[in-house]
Amino acid sequence: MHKKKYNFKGGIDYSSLKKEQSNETVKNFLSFPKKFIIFIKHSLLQKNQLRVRINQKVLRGQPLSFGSETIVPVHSPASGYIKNISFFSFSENKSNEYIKIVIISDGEDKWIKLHPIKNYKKHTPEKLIRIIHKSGIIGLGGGKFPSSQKLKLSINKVHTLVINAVESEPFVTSDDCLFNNYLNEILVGCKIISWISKIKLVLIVVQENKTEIISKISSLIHNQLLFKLCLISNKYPGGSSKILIKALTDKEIPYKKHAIDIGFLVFNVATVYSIKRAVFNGEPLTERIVTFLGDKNFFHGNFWVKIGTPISYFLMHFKIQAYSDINIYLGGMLMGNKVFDLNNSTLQGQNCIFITSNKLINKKYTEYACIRCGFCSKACPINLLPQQLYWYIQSKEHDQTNKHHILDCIECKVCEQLCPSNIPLVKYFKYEKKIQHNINIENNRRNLSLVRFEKKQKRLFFNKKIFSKDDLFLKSNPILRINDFNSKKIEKTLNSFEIEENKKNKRKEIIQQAINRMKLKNK
Amino acid sequence: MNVLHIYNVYSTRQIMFLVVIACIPGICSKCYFFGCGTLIQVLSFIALSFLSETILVKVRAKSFSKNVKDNSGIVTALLLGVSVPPLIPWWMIVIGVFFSIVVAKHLYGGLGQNIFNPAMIGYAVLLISFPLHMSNWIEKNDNFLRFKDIQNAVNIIFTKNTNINNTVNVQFFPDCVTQATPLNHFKNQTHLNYDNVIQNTINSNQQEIIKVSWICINISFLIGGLFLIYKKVICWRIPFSILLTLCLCSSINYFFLKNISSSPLVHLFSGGTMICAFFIATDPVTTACTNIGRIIFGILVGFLVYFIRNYSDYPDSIAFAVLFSNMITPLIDYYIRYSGYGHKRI
Repeated sequence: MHKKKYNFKGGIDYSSLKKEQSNETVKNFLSFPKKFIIFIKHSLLQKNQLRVRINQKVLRGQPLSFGSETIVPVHSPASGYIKNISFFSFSENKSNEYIKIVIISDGEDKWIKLHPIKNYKKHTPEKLIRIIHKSGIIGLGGGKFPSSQKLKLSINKVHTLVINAVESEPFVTSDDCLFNNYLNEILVGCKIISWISKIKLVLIVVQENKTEIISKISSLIHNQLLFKLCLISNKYPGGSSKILIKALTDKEIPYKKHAIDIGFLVFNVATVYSIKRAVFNGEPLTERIVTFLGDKNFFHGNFWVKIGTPISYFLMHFKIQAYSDINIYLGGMLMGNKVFDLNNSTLQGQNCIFITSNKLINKKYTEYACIRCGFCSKACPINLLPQQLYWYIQSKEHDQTNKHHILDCIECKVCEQLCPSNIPLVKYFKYEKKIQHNINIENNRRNLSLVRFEKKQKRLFFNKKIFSKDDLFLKSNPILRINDFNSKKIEKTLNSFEIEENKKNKRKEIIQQAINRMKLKNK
Repeated sequence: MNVLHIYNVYSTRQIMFLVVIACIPGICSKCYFFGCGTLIQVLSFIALSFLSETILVKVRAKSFSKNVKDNSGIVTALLLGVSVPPLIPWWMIVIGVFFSIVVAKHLYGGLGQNIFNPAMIGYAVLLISFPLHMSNWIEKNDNFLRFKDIQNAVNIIFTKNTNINNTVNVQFFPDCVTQATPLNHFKNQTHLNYDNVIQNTINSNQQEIIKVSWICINISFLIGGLFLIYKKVICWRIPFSILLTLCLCSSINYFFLKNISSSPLVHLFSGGTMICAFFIATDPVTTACTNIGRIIFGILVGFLVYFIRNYSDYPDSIAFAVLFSNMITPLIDYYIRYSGYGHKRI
């Protein structure tokens, strides 16, 4: 058995705060919610096409949409009928448009006809990938990248599979719970993935404080050469794939490239589990484990939640009716976004719902001036200088922010947590990133127009050259002389083109002569 | 949306307060050797700085709670009060506060925006304009009782005319003409070869007492600095590199020219080396932000302290060394920066 502790630079140690919740079994909701709301992202470049109409009856697991290879279909979470289909955009982010589908359940949980595959080794990997694509599996850790696409890219490129069971955020234990209850199924899922992309080593990465799981896994793995257990230090943010690979192998993923390009395939545990379900049992992705975090007054624990259940249902079910006192975040304590609309539903990428009373959040934190203490740059896991970036953002020097690699920032909010002056640094960085994006677009446009201008000048010169054969005409015409200032340069380039063409022609002639000679010899 | 602060180690107020706590042993030992004048001076500096800050914040129309309550004014006033000799007159205190807090801090745009260390600007202004008062380190007279000492100090600071030539002061403190710091003594030795003259004026007994007092003061500041490093308020790289470079340069010099130069131990434990290394040079606003940059900054300060002490007219050279290297910090920050994730390392 292999036990080595891996560590990474920076981060925050939350071990004093974290409580163990892994002993708890997963809870099922007793009653079905009556209404499901599903949001499908809609954009002009990637078109989702709908498969259902209003007032149509649907069964559980029936696909609602289909698209090209890059888009995975979304399935209905329960049996019932479709009430309404409309366009929708949230009030906090109006740039993204969604298709909103409302399903009303009939209470019976009827599945569509399933096609389970018991022996996956009889089928080709391409067919298995197609099945995974059809069952609508995307990265459940929050990446939302379609996993069929990932598997297709990884064939003949990847040598190790990394299974990510690291929840760095405090109090979140959904992956932990999944490992505890469905260990055998996850190991089968690993074998399926390793068969698809021909992998001979599987690394299972777990945090070092989860002792129960470590002993369980190590007893199961004991004789198998395929698996290997790795322990990572209990720090935030260890869950990001970039940091995970650096901690394990001390290699960095190059700029604008993925982990596949170095030879690592990273999957979250929940994705592996759902892949196993899709292949072995034929079930498409309709539910996932979500952790609820609340105060002493509210509920907390791990639950199986169907994708598309609106948040208002949870509040109704646990009899929390004073909505004005409560703040709700989708995601963990640190990375989460505040919810303003109670019709917002749990989607595939969310592993946590966090509910607090207003009193905790409305504590007053006075924002002092930055004293450049350097705590933030010590803690930054990807080697940035947040304080320096903050100064450049305030003085609007966009060149310098680009030179200090602001686009690398993974928005983990570590720097904010340690800042003694309570400055919301990540807010500034998000704002600056948008500006950088706009600058990039404008630069591209400028380059394109420059290229067009040069091409146009070449064309104009060709036209002129036809005239220039007639010398008398050129000298007499005053308009054409205006363009003469550039003529020397363009003539040079044109001459070079002609020379190249002549060379090509000569080469062709030589090759043809050689071919003719060979033919003669053969005769 | 305001994020929940679960893991705030220190707030800015706490950092400043810890620095004030770390200064306490140094102040106590200074009071023991030079009389209670230092304590009165520090308190008056703090009161004046608070007053001037409130006025300036009102003039600049900024919020009181954000700019004054962060305790940073207290720290600058305290460091200025510690580094200045005891029993300087009240109008010099006013000038020092004006230049350190009004000019160096608030006219540059408040905390965090200043290029130079505010306490050192005040000290440098006083040192250049009133050199006689600023080199007036007086030994405590054992004839006075404690209460009388306080009364006497208040009298000298606030009421009486304290020209050096005045006979009243000389009567109380016969030592003041000779300027009894070991560094001054060393300076006279090196530049003028005044060995005989000095030996006549100061008894060898008194000289030893002075040396011991300076060593004690420096050690007490070192204890405070180690406390700050233990609490992880300041970075250990700056004081370590300053002390190492000073020790190295002076030991090389001592090895080759034993007659003229003083030993490295004298350099380390005299004047304001320890205050400079642990309290003044580590001011986070005016130092470089990367780890390598901090080491370069420390080496620069240590070398300059050695250089100015040996080859210039000023006996103690903290202020000029720190101010000069503050000038260079933007340059260091521009050229030394971290590479992000996934780029090639520089």
